[in-house]
Amino acid sequence: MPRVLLATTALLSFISFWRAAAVVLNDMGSSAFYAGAIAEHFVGKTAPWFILAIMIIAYAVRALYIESCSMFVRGGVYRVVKEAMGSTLAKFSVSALMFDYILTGPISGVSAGLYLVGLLNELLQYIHSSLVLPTNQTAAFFAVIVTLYFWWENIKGIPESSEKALRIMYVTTVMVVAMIAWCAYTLWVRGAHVPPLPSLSNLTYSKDALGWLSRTQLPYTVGLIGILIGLGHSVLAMSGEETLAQVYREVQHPKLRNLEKAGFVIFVYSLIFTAGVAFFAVMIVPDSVRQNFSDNPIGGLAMYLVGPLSLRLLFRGFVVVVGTLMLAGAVNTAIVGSNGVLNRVSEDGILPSWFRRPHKRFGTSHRILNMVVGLQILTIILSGGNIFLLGEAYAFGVMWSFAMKSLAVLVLRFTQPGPRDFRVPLNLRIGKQEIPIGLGLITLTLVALCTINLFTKQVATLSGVAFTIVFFGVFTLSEKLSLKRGQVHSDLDHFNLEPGEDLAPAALGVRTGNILVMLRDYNTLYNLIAVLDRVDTKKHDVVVLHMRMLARAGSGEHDLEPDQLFGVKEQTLFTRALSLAEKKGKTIHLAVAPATEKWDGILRAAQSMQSSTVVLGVSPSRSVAEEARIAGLAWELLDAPRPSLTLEIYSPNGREFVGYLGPHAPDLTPKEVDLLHGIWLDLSNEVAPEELHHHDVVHFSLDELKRLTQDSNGTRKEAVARLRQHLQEIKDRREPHL
Amino acid sequence: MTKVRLQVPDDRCIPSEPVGPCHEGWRPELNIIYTSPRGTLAALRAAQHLARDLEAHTLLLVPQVVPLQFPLSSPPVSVAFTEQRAYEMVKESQYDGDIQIQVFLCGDKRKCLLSVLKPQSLVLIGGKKRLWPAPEQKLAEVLRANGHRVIFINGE
Repeated sequence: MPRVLLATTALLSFISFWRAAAVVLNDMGSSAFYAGAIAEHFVGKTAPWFILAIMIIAYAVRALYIESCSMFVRGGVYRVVKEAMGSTLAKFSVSALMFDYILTGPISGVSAGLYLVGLLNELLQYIHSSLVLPTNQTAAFFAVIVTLYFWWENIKGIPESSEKALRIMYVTTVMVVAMIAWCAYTLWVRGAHVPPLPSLSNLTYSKDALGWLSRTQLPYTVGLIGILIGLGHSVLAMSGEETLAQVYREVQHPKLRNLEKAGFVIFVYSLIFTAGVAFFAVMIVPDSVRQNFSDNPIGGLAMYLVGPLSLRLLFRGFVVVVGTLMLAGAVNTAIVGSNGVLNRVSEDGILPSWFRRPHKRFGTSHRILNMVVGLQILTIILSGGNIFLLGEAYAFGVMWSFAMKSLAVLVLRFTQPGPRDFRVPLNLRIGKQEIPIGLGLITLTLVALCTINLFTKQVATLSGVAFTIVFFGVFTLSEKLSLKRGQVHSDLDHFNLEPGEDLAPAALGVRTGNILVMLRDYNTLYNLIAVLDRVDTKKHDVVVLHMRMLARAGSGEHDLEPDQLFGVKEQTLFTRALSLAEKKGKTIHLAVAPATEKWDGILRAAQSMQSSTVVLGVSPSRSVAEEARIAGLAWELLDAPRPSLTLEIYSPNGREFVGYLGPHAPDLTPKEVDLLHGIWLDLSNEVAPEELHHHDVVHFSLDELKRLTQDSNGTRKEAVARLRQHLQEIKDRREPHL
Repeated sequence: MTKVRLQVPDDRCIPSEPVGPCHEGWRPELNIIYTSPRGTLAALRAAQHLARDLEAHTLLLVPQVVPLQFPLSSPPVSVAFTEQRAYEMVKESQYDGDIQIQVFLCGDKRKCLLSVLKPQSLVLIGGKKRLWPAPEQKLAEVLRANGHRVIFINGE
């Protein structure tokens, strides 16, 4: 009878900061296709300055994300806000985030449609066709088709890889470089004026720019209000930055430094692309015709560059291709993102598990996908393909999820004031109290933008608040029901238990010479941290082993079931170990083994794993010297052939003891080397012309010592007494133990 | 889900893992990569004869890409479903030898396969041969370029 064996493994793989930046830019860069034009629609020709300012604010927000990632490897808005401010505000944040996702799909799809329709109408005009496609309706139709396509892809469970993101960014970069070069040449040939600076006198609000503030004089008299209104209408430009938190999981070691680099690449790229498009559009496309291209600004820019019409049309076609690729990608990201968030909250019990029930044929969470895509299509239809309406509403979700995240990170500075690998700069310390000025300013700016948007964006406020209330209500009700039913959620990872008789390198998929890290308690993982800091996992595999100690009476009588070996304690331990490994960007392999005696279990595991090193934390009950001695004795009891092992014991403060088990060359002190050299010098002349080496001196001395200790006529006693005396003499010079 | 090796003192375990060629009882490994259902089925059928002739240990490797928006241990396609689908595939192919199905939850299919395959592995990839390189053909090329011995099975 043939046997089929099944096992599932999560395999961590890591990406470079370039690739991480490409993934984020795929989301963030797509807003360059519409953000500048939407801002100009609301606040006039000063819009490029606001887009530029938003790009700089986005750089500050990047720092905020890095700090939150330094605390939580999987630090999305929900997780961070929940940790900092509790479940209620986390539910509110996730509702706002969902509003963001529901709007991202339609705005990206409609924008792609507008670029396509713009080009098609232009081409129809050039071939003297009387046919003119209705712009908004055709764009909406296109958006619905794209959304349905990606809905089907997600139902089937076909994932996107970072490889595809990188390829799209290659093509986009070609377009951006060509556009900048061509725009610069155009400006050089024709000359142009820089857009007017954003002062009160230069701000020209559209009819729908002020919302409820249109009944007051504040936007016209208070400069700060005017600036905030302008920024509020431009915040779309930084949507997509939240992808930084998602991509962090996969960033390679050193993670935070690479995330900083990715953040910098994103900043420079989006500054050049998004802000560049906004400036070039105002400077190159004549004022009289620019509003005709407000729904596809880069398309308009392409048509007003210097050069032959055929070349400009070709470039516009290229822009449409790139735009469709990026914007359609953003539609997919919105669907996948909302599916991910709702799955996550469903696991937490704040959305009924009914939503997660897998599709019969494809195994995906089709109910969540149907709901999300249904809401997206409804949004497209209700908007009628009006990009300004969508843009206005979109800002609500983007801003509130950023603001809540910022507020959460700020709160964590006070509630969890401990050390962090990264802190948002500008921190003032007064006594023991730290005042996070930089973080405070970012939070204040984001909350101010949210507040001004509440007043100026009527559609966004009404629809956003209604949506958030509905989602918040569903989440709260569902959570209460889950608690009532006793469906306790857990933040612990799930592990696939693979029972096996022996621990062997092949069983764990590791190489020989691996490093065996013993973990006992999930609160004391400092030995694993030390190993992950030091070891290059491309050269040496790290095996994390938890020894489940069994009482002798209960260990051999009955077979052990996997759940007897792997309980909540082990699940917590490995969840934290994996989280650490993810944080350091290194791979670890997990194992649990039973033992009745600590050192016997450890050394047998190391022997069967063919490990080179065993790493432990200090024992709470034994000194390091005692621990090493017991380890040495246990080593002697191992079955032959006994392996040579390096024993490393770490203390919580990072001090390290290194010892060796089995035959090994001793570490000689400089004094011992001097002594050996002196003896060699003295004897080498005496025995000349015979050749004498240092190792000959060692060999001879050891033979002599052996002879002395094996002699029964009192020389052994004398030798041992002298050895004891020597040990007493050097006792004070020994390094203190851990 | 992350695999945890549980050492249990009984004989309920999986058959012995493949070991290096220097050990007694060593058997070559035949790795089938899960691609499309039709391609995988073709590869499984082709593997049957090959595994018998070579007396090889057969593995069906199922790389399941998890998008960044999901925790690695909770992919959008349920793990149970993926395992069941792979199992059904083996049943449908009427494969009559022992086979080990390994599902890998990963961020990148190619990187995942390159890290789990041993050097110079014997790999079977099923897919539809096209004039332009199909994803399965591209995967085969990548594996070949990395020193593996790849047999492409035309699934049509």
